[in-house]
Amino acid sequence: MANPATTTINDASNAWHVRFNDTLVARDVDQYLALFRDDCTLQINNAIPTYSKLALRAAYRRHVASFRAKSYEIIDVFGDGQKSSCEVLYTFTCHDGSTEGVQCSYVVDLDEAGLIRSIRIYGNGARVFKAFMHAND
Amino acid sequence: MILNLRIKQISPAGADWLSHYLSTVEARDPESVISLFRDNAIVQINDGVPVQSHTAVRGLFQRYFANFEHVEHEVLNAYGSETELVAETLCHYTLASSGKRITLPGVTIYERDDDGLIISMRIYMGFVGMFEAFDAAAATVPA
Repeated sequence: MANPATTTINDASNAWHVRFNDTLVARDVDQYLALFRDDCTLQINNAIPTYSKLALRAAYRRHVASFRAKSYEIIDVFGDGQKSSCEVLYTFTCHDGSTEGVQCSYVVDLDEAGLIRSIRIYGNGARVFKAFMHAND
Repeated sequence: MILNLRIKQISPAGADWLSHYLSTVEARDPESVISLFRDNAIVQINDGVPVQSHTAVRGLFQRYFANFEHVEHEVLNAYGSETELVAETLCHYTLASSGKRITLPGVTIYERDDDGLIISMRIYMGFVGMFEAFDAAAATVPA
């Protein structure tokens, strides 16, 4: 769901974030990885970054295995077609059927071909992922 | 405060305001910081419960300043307009309890009213390193 309260970005760039999040929640690894460069970097907060599409494949598989479903609502988008930031609310359906929300923000750099060169994700998913781990026990 | 912006970033006026805000925070005077917020401003950290009003925001900053002996911001990216903007920042902290230094990246989204006062500020950041540093400092305190 695209619901930007305040935005300074153009429609095409905003559409990129909708497409990215549609792909993110679709749980299709190949479709998701198609958005990234081979030498991409993904970093969550101050954790060690995940480098390369190969490493990202394994990380994304672990991610989607930890919940039953995921939806999103975009709150804000800032930036331009190559460098932008998106504030978003993700709602997870856990394996035990409960739902949890995680509000976060990511900053993304795209290359000339529109592929993700770098994405940095900021927020606190500990509460919800703790619940996932519990549900998976 | 280090403004380390690259191309395609916020306008010079927006960058000036951001620089002013972060420098005010680094000066560690709660009243100066509070003067930049509207009376009914909302501050939210990650998906925690938001705090609203000058009183609540003052309390937040008083606790913040009590925890850190020194804070320095390094702005990596800033997008948006003068009234609605986002900044990706490295926060260099020196803990008051131990003198230990930690650097944490984060994103802050600012919304300002027509008078330039902050209406809403939302901070997204992981605090893993920070809490480890607190724990380490606490472990060194004699019983």
